[in-house]
Amino acid sequence: MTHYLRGSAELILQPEPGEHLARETMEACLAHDDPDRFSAASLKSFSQNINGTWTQAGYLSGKAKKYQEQPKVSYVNVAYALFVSCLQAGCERYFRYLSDGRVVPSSALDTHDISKAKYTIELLNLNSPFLNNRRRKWWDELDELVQEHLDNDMDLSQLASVDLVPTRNKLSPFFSLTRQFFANQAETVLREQAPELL
Amino acid sequence: MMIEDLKHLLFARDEHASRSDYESDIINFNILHKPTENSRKLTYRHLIDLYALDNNVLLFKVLRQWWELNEDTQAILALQLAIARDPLPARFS
Repeated sequence: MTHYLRGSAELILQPEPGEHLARETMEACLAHDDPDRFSAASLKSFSQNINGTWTQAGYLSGKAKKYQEQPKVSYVNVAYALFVSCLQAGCERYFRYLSDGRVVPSSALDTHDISKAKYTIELLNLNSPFLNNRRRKWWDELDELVQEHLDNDMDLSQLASVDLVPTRNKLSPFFSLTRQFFANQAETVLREQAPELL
Repeated sequence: MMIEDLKHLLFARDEHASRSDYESDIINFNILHKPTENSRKLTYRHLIDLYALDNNVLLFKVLRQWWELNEDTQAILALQLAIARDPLPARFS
């Protein structure tokens, strides 16, 4: 059941409160991607389960016949949603690392995403003096290493890969900063040597 | 999403409980009143899939810490965690 929960969210969040949600609509949503995957009986049972979940959470009401409801969402849920967003894939696009060690919301974000980035920075205290200091030192170290490599005509992608490719399944500290630092070169290294991170 | 089971389970322990505490509560002590040993094990497995029940999983840890802030929000909080852990988002995008 849980595999289809996120996909059904779009359907649940669409109609207006009070509107009837036919079970067939949910079945069609589940079958949309791969119509031959489930039998009619399975689709019916999945739809009932998923509708039950949304009912328990207050998004639907009714027993056999389901209707849209306005759920009671509180600050706890909003804070949790903001927190979840910083753990999602692609969350690095929210942040920009500066050479003085600070992390700030990326300038490419809209106002809604800027508030998410700010919230996360404050919540996790990402600009604590300790972290800023560590980041600034790391940035300076990278700067020096790049200069050294350029002076000696050495391959920069080698340097980038040392800190971007996971060792023993672990990322190096300040991975996102390093990735941003090496920009396109980092993306090339990751594509070639650690595509699972993309 | 087994919200009543989750509420019972979390009510019985404080926020420092470990996954094995929850396992023991469900399987050995049957605090969720399941009729057979198999159904107790299945319930435990489903709850792990949905909510992790492990403080090493950051999303569960935060949910557990905020669980008692407001009882009315628990069902949506649980739903949020289940959706965040849902492994196949791309199928419906």
